[in-house]
Amino acid sequence: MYRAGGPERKMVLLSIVDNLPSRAPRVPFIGDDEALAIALKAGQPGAREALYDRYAPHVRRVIVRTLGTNADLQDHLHNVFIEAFSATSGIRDGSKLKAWLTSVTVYTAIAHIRRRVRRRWLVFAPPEELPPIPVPGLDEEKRQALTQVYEVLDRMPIRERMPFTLRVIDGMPLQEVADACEVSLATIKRRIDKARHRFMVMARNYPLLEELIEQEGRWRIE
Amino acid sequence: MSLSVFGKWVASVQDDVLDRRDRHVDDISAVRRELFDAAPARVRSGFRWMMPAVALVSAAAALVLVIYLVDTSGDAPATVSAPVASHFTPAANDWISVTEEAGRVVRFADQSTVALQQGANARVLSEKEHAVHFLLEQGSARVQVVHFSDTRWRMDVGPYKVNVIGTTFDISWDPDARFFQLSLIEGKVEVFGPMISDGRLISTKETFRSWVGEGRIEISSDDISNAVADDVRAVPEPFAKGSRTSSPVRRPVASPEVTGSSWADLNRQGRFTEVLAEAESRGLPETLAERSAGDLLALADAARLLAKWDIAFASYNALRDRFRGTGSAATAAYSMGRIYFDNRGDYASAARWLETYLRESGGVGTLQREALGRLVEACQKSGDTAGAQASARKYLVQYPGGPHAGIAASVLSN
Repeated sequence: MYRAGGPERKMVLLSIVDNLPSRAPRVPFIGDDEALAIALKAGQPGAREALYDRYAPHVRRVIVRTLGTNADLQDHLHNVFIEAFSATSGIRDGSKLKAWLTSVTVYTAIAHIRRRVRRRWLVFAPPEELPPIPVPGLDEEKRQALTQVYEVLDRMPIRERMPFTLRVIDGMPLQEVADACEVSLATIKRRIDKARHRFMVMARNYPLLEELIEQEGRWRIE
Repeated sequence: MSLSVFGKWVASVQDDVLDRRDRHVDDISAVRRELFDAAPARVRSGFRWMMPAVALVSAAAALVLVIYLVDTSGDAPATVSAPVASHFTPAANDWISVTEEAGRVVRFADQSTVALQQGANARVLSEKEHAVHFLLEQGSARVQVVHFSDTRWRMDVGPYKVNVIGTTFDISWDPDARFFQLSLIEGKVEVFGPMISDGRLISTKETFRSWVGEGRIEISSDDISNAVADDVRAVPEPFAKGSRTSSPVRRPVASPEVTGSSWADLNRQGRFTEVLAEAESRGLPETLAERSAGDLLALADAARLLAKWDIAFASYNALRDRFRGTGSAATAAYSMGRIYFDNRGDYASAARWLETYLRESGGVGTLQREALGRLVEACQKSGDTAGAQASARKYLVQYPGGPHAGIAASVLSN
């Protein structure tokens, strides 16, 4: 029912019940990644929930590696899946569903970093640049080291930062890093080499990082 | 440690942070509820036993509302009051002009509401499947949008476009003053428009203001104590132009421009030579006498990293003279200890400066562990056996698993 009219009425009611998503209980999805990819593309009930339940912890970990623990994890996790749900038509190989979702996560993180960089001219800092929320029981030195690592990363080119975080911090295999960044294996190797060198040079300005990396007494670039 | 080992260490610390966080916040479940559940999470999880009663009360309230609406809108034009089809799009002529003091509420069946204040002009531009496009031409409104994973809400307000997720916010546009304001009570929205063409996420308790004519915007973090009315028919307290700017307790937001010196920024980018060049162009004596502690530390560090030892020592000493007793002065002592240790092989001097750092930082400096570990080595290499053993004992008590634990143990065993 839709009611509207002149200014003398106090309420306007729009009824769009038929357009609302179904709230009926959904049957849990059962199947491997290839089946899940097909179900996602077909809009099968329960497929999105299955994707989330299967890979939300992985996505959260990739977010933490690429953006740091000071990032608003729930915001980013939410945004990655919103992005993924709207891009299921782009899944080419169902057996690589996890890799596809990783690339969506990386893409979303890159978009976030670019937005943040563009906003730096604003007088006020965006929330993610405010002091981090204290983590109970976490050693102060570790907290500072994490903050400084991402300060260095914030000053690196995104195309080097992303492979660096996935490879050096997360330990992801090179081919998976290349897939996530959507470049060739040779290109990703080159970028990681450059990123390693750049990180080492820039980290030298942070005594704590320098000490941590240098604990064996000398700088070493692998 | 090598960079790969360091990377693994960073990952392990991050995992530790996540473990600790998981004890307090369940990110995965919270986002899952946001993505897939329509009802507020706290009701669904904490008060499940109340659901039948809540449903009963809701049904009764809905019935009362429908009766009320039928009673108060009996003269609606037939073309508008007809039942809505599944793909009904309100016509562009369905203007809502609010003249009543109490305002008026546009209510959607998914429980989303737009409570328009007196003086507001608005209309629903389109309502397609899973998407609503609402225009607030002028005036103020409180918007409550219930989030569904596959519905989209967009509002056009003056020159701004607002992408709405699940959220509650106050929004207003004054076309005469060309003033736009959006105050987030709960959730988040993304705003696009003049001066933020790339979009800006506004989060809970943030207020975005734009003086479009002046080309000025402001984003502040406010404490908004206004409770959100549970009854969507209850129009919230008027929030006339300007009233919100005075009532909230303003909390200043840190500005990135004031967090560090420009030389420190250059250093972070690895542009050490530029720092030195700028200092020398201004005159080194003047620089050492006039610049801030942050600048002096940055200059000294740049010089140290470029192996310009004389400038580095001069800067560290100037810093210690002019800013005696500060954390920067203590850090300068540590850095000089490092130069003596790493670059000059003067371990006695290194030990003296490292002890100075440990004494001046009062046991709370971030370089305590490294300074104490290096002190063990410096004393050992300079032949100060007693000093080496004393610092080794101290090190093993404080950092039994630290990187210098092996050296400390060997000093004591010998």
